Amino acid sequence: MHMADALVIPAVAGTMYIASAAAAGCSVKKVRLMDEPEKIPAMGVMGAFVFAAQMINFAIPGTGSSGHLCGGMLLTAVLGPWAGFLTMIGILLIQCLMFADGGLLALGCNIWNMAFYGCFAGGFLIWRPLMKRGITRKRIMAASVAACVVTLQMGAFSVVLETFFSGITELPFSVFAGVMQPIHLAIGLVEGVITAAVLCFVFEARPGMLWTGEAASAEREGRLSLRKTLVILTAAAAAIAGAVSLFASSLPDGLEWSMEKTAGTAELEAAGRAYEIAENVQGATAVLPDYGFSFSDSAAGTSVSGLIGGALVIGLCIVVCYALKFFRKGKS
Amino acid sequence: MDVFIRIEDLRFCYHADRYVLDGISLTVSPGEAVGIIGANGVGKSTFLRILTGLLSGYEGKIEIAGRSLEKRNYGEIRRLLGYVFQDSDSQLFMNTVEEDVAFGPLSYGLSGGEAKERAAWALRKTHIEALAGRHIYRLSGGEKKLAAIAGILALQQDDGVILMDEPSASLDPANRENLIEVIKELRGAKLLASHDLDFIYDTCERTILLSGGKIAYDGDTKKLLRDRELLERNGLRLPLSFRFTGSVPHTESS
Amino acid sequence: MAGIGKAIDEIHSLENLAERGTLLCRIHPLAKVLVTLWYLILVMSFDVRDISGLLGMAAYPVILMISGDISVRQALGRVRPILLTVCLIGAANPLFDRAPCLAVGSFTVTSGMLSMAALLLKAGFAVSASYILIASTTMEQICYALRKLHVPRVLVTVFLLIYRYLVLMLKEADRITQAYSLRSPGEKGIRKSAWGPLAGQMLLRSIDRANTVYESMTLRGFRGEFFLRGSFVPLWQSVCYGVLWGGVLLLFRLVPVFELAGRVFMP
Repeated sequence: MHMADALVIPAVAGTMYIASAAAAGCSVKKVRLMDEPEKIPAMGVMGAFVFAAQMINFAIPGTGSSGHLCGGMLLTAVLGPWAGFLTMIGILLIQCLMFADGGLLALGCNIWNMAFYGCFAGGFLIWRPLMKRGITRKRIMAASVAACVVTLQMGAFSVVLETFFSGITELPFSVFAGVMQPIHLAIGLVEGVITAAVLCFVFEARPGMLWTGEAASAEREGRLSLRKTLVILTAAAAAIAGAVSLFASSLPDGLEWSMEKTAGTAELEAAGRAYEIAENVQGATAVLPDYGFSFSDSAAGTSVSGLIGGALVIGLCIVVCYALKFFRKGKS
Repeated sequence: MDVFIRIEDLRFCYHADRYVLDGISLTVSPGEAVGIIGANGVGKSTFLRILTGLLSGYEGKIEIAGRSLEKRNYGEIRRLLGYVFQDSDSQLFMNTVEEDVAFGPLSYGLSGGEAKERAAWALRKTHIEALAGRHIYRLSGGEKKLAAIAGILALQQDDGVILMDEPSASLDPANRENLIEVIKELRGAKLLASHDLDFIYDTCERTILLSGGKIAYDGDTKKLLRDRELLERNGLRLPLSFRFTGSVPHTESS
Repeated sequence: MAGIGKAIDEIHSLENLAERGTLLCRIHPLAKVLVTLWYLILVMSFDVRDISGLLGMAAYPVILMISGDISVRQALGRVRPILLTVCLIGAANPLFDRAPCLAVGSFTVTSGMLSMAALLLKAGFAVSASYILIASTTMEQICYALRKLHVPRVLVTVFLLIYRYLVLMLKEADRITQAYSLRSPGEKGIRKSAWGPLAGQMLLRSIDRANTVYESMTLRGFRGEFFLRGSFVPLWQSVCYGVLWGGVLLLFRLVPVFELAGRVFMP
């Protein structure tokens, strides 16, 4: 489910960063308004717990394979959606920095795909309405499975959209979505049941510990009401989705586009002059005879000379670096 | 004689029907080391936690450094009063030793430079200067205990009181000896709750025995630890070092 | 579960790397974070088939890895968690896009192959760049940079706490699963009846610990803020680092350096 840096273009990554940052901003405000300082260590320790517990393999009966906990749902049920969301951000940041799971650039996407849907959609649309009339084992099971399935579907679909809008794959949209959605349906079911088992245990041991949304109604006097925030967030999400699709479909990539705007052409003029110089030099230094290579201009930018040049420059880099290191060692 | 902590008729209950502490009065002078012993569940930890202000709703009167123990005084009292938790990992919440030790001074508004100096001083006092940059989770149990003490020292320096809950629990003999050395060198007051009587014997001149919510004994440690009958009546046993000789060993000249 | 032990090792090795105190380690973390982000943005902005342009971006990881004594093997090994997704998505390109665009002897390179290669290159570069950052910057320093970027205090504090308790929790999870497997030989995972109790107990213990942590924080004057400090090389050096790399990378992005170098040798 983690998006890799390589799968997104900066425009998509940037939009998702903005969307996630907006959601994080709201959450920070909410957590501050609640003014429960004891929540902060709870978020930290629970975050570490979820991280570790997600590495435990739970055997799925009759299949021989194993599943894991759903972190977003668990954190929401214990800490509430706002604090749960912020904790998930922390987890995702550590996953991407320490374990290269996901990426720095794709972090905004990952926060949105996993933390946003998992905590807010799962918490407000499924968990809270179900728990309104009191928590029971059955309701925990139903809410947990439903929330995991729905939020994972949303997340998986976002992955498809983000990859698609980034234009890095030739995979037809329908095929991609057709593969992603069913896989995540199965994962969602399994994660939901495992998470429910854990939450049921917690509920029996300490019934008062699970979040029911009551605290949220008490802090409604705060500057941002819950309903308002949700409306804003949904509107922001819709607007961003629209913007991304426009941006991505009409423009191949953001930087090229901004270059075209500023310089008038996609290629900078400096590049053009540099080509001329290189062509003049080339006549005297051509060492590679022209055999067997043919090149079509349609391959955007890639050419044999480019590849050879690349190998040479990288080789030069390595030699120079090692030489510098060698001399530095000799000095000291 | 100066009084650092004054407690008068302290009573406390978790549930309305039963008082865990039922009429405790005592005073502690600056720099005094007091052991608090008693069977499991007798209220040693409760007593210490009340002094920190973590448990509120006590009856009676508590004064620490001339200030009554109530919410508006917590800030000033806690600058002078440190609590060493039994589980060091819960206490050390920053990532490296130096950061954790400097946490208190920084929170109380000292500048970065001052905090660093204080941290260095506290680390020296606890003999762990070498661990300054180490990550907490890479420390051994004994080192963690010392780091926790350093964190408190950095805040109160020499003129406060340290409360310790089972300081010697799960330490090996060498670490235990080292901890005793460190505690003996501390110039501030100390309240040590433990049922490791040998440890109490090595660190405190005065010991309080709690029993049934009341003080069953308050006085000279050596005298108490020789009283086999009193100890056994309260779920305790003679310290190992007394068992074979039947008298106080000759580590200290009598 | 071997995964947990491996995760702990990974954290240890990264910390050891970041605490070596090389020049790169002492550059202001904000400069390193910004350069890394800038690098990622530039790399990902290349066209899906522009391999020779992309190769120019290799200069950054190559130079820093050699001069900073960072292992290439370790860096590329970290591609594993995302490799499956990238490969699956990338593998579709040669299948669906068969337009020929380059011929080497009798072998025709299709545009789909190029875009797949470019995707893998991008993945490799991204992973290397992140590794360079984290192998030269401690988590505390990254948090310091995040605060400088005005990331809210709550978020940074929570992040630091997660990091603080991560190894502790991983070890606990490791012990629990080991204890479980010792009493249930031959099982691949935790059986259904134990799902709730096993993870639930651990969760309750975590909550208890969180309470104690909070108490110990209040006793030492916690007011919602962690104070981060750092000692780095003089500011101008960090600024130079940032500006230089920023400029060089932009140049490599705009001017097809390799194309030019290649033309010197080949008509």
